[in-house]
Amino acid sequence: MMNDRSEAETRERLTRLWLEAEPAVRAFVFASISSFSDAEDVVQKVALTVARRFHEYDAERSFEAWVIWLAKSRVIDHYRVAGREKLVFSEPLLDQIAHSLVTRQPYQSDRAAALEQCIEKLPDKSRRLLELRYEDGASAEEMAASLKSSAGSVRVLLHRIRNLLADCIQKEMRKGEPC
Amino acid sequence: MLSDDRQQELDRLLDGDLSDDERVQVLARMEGDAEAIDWLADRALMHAHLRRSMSRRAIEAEVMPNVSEVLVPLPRRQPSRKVLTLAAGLVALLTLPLWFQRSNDATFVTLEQSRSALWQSGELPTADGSRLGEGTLRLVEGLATLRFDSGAEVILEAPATLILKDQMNCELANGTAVSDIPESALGFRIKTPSADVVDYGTRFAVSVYEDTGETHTQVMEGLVQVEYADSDQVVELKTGQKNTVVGESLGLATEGADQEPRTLPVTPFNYGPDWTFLPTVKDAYTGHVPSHESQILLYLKNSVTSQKTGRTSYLGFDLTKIDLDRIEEAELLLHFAPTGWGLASHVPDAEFSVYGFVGAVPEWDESILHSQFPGEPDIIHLGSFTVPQGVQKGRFQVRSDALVDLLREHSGSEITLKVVRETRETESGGLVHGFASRRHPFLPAPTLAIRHTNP
Repeated sequence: MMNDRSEAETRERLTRLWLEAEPAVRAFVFASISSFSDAEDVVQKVALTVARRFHEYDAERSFEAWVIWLAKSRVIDHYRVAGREKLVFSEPLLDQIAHSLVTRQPYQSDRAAALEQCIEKLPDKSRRLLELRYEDGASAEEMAASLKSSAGSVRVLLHRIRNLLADCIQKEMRKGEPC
Repeated sequence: MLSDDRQQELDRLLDGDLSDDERVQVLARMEGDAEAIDWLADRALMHAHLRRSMSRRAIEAEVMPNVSEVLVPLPRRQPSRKVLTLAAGLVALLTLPLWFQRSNDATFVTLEQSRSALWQSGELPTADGSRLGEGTLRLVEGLATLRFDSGAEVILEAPATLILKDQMNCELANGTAVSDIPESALGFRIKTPSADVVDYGTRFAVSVYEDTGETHTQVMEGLVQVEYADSDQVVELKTGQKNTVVGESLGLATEGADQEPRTLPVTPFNYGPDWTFLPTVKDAYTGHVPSHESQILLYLKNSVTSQKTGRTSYLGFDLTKIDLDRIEEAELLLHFAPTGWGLASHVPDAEFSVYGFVGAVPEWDESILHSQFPGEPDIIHLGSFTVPQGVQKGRFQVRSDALVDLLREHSGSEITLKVVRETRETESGGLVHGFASRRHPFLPAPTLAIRHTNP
């Protein structure tokens, strides 16, 4: 009985910690692996690893840092299996990105909410480009072919849309700050 | 701040849009570059959020297509595989940016077309078709269409001063800019003394009043954000809305963009109901140059060559109906207009003086044009004003106690004022200034504005 309760509490704690850490983990993996499907597979594997090895987690330390440390191994494995080791970030670089993400971890749910509002502000045409990129995973060339534009043009446009969203998120976040 | 080129490079890294060699180089450049690493971390967070958000939106759209069709008959996204095909229809909507055509020089704007444009001298070329880089454009009259390499079109309406910063940024110091921003220039920013106006793909107009720095923004179509320069306050304007930023106040978004926007500040009308306006009953100028005459303008010139080519104007007012004892304030108003004679570059900022005749004034009529003013009555200086070099239009006035005294103490029913240009041309062939006579078809005649005390 005690074991069941303890197991349920552990599961609940793991779920809560994972939900908090997941945006940073996803960002870390998405920064390292550009294919959405590959990146999502790796995030899945990280989640499984975290669940399996949760008993190793030292509660005195940052959960995000521990999870990203596990994710780092998975990312390196991904490149090794594909035989493309030279294209993976160096370990120091991965560590620096991980560190940067951990410091940005707070307020991720606010950031996601702000992003949703900012997407709504975009003109339809910009949202459609985001759909092509982020839903279909289309490359610049594929988007350009669909839009009878050029890849360079699409890249610039996508860059601008992201800049606009980044500015907008900052402003939305500041709105929520106490005066 | 990370350069735009580096940012684009990192975006391409996230998108898997680099060749193997390029990727190796980009990774090498990132080593130890904390700024780039932080930027990538921020971007990766948004990148990952976007993937999740767009996937969720796609699922919602697939689950509830019928609901959205019934409730909101908006063009809605289609199931994934069809998107690429359907998007071909959007081609016409996406403006092909001139981005690729951008040359390697420091220019980023083309002055496409100007209409009736008069430019104040500056460091940038102003011929149609000119390529422009960083610098300031001062449009004194007319319209000018600018095309930024980002695709943004800005029509400048005079009088206006626009500072070009780069293909996504400019500063409007005064005047009006009407912008049409395609998607390629999303985020185009017009900075003003009191606000930043950021575009989200739209047509909008911004007017800045030079004296106060007020910023008036009006959206014809789309969405813009007006950001208050002194804080983080932001107002969003949608189609048909407008906003005014004045002083320390970021105004609200209000409806009414179908009304014509005010593009210049309201000039306070300084004359209340206790003012009386007296136009000239006669006016003329002396100094005759054959075939250089005007019936509607009164000429003024201080010539270097000969007194004969100088011009002096005379104004006659009838004071019969004026209660001289009760005059409290008085002003002489003159409306200048181009004469079409002479070179402005030969006349610096020009000082003009107004004199009043005192004592006995000989009879004169408007036929003095071809001769001298009869006699040399005593004169008294009433006031001066300066017309900047190159300016040939506008209202100028003299308001002084000396003018009030002259009016009060004048014995007869008629008064004569003399207007001269004190500043001499630097070379012969200099500009002839002129202001409207009482015969001008649409400009007001020289006018005495007089305020009386209450009885």
